Amino acid sequence: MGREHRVGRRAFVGLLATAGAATVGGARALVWSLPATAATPHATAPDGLVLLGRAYLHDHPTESDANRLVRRLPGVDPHRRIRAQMAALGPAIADDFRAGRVVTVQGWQLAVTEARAAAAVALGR
Amino acid sequence: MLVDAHDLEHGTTLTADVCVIGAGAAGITLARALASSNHTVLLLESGGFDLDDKTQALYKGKTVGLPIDPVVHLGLDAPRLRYFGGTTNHWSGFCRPFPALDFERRAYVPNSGWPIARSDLDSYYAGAQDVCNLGPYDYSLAFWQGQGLIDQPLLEAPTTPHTVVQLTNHPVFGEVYRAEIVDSPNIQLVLWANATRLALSDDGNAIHSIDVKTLTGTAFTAAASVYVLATGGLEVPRLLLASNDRRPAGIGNEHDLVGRHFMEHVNIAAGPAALSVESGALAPYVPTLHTLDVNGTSRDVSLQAVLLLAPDILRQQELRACEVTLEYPFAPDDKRLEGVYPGTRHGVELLAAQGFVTKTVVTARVLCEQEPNPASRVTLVRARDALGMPRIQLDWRLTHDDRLSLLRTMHKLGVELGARGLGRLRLDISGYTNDDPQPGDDLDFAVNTGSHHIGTARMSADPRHGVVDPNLKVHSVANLYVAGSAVFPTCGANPPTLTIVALALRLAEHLATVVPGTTVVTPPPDAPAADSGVATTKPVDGA
Repeated sequence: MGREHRVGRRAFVGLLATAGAATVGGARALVWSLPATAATPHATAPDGLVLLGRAYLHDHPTESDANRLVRRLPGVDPHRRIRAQMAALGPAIADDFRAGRVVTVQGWQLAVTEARAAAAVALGR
Repeated sequence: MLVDAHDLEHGTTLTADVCVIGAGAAGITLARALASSNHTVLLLESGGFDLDDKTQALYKGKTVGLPIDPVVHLGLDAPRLRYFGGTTNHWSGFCRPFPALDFERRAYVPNSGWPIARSDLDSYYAGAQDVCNLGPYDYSLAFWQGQGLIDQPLLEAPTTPHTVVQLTNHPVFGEVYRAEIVDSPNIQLVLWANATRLALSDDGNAIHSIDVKTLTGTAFTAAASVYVLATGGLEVPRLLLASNDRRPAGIGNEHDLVGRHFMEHVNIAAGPAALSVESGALAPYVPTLHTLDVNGTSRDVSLQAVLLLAPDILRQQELRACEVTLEYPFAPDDKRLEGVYPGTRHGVELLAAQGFVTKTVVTARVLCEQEPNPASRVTLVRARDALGMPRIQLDWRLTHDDRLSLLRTMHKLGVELGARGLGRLRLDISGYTNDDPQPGDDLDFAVNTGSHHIGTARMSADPRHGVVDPNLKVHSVANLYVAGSAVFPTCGANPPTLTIVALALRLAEHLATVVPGTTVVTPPPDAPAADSGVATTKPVDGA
């Protein structure tokens, strides 16, 4: 345990997310489950929503079923794009913070709902 | 009266009512207060009026465990200054008293609890305000808001109350009090005078005298009724442990406590916070200079709001004391931001997708208490300095619960920001994902310190648990006292200097009651100044 370890972990996850080429543990399954457009290296860097969503899925590989994930987002229409509905999650996100349902994603202290929403976006929903 | 120790004859004995070793915040305060009560004081200072490399090198030592300053790996000689004024010569001037909770025994903080309460110190804190050239003794946000001098802090709430920090504009005691000390007929300031041994009396129960040396080889003796070590949290144990010719474990070390329980302030930049407010809303967190009228005297004092967690929260969640500030605001589109905090845009973009506009990105800085840990300690090593004194080794340690408390405090901050719709916090240290921080995690490498050396001669009513008693007297020695942060049983999350000064004022008051009457009376203003007398006024009373 030391500097190499500490530098490696988050930087490596970030690298994986950026390259769309995860190769460890649950991340491998994640990549293969992604739609082709998401799994293919991007011409431009993906935005923060996608990056953090991927990082969440890396840490929570059991949540990489997109349909199940969307069902856990209160008040969203599963037939519409999640990205377009993010603003509607505000009350649920606030509830999460008040209730302490907080998760750390690449260091960010996020409400579970917003982390799952980001994951859903990363999965192409 | 000023004495250059180089000018003394070898073998000279200097005497006074009280001998104070060390002319820093504690020693200068003590000397001034005792002199004003017509006691004679021998104030021994290792250095001169300016930094001297050879003298400063006497502070060099070895660090094991956590480096004393992991960020830049400074040595033990860097955080302290060994000349008149001591470490106040680079003090930034931050002051606030310890909250009442810090004095209490907290079951979740091992070895916590002071033998005195905050109320026992209040009157001395008020006096310390004057010594430190501060404003009124009131640190409540409400008071300063009532004065119109500080705005509502962004995060003020019952769970996250704020207090005010006062910053003195005149922090260097060596400049502020030099003339008064030198001109005082009751104080004999001896420069270039290094205490190298505390000599016990024949019966071994008191200090008989102190061996003093200059770096040029002059050796002399200091003798007084009472002795006070005011040399800081690293040098106090050094001198006690090194004075082992009669007591092999060192003086005051019957219970193996001298040098143990070393504490520093864990000071860490938690990471960036993306906020929905303009940088102007953070103004209360930035020290701002004001000119205050204090009893008709004009004083320049800066004020700053800092966030604390409410005592109930600390108790319920078993957290150490903490102090949080928000600093270094960036506009989210500032190109420098990616260099300072790579990847911050990811959080900003996540928030933007929710319709949340990030207007400012700031650094959340957390200062946290550590527990008094007997394994965190100062010991002597074989290497010796130019005076022949053994050098020290510092093994500074944090416990798992210290790390956990720090992480939970930062988590709490992130939750508060989110719950209030103000933004998101990113923690840039590892160990945060599983709440199981380990030595060697990022946390240890991100820790900065306050150059605060605390706890190595801790205060307790029970000699089995402390080196000094509540009057700051070494339990096992009749006439030896300790002043300074070495006596703090816990370190809180406070800058220590105001408490150092308050305790010094309290000690001076105590000593004035136990030390026999003085022999020198301050002459009337028109009388010619006495140029001698102090050095030979007080025979040793056979202590």
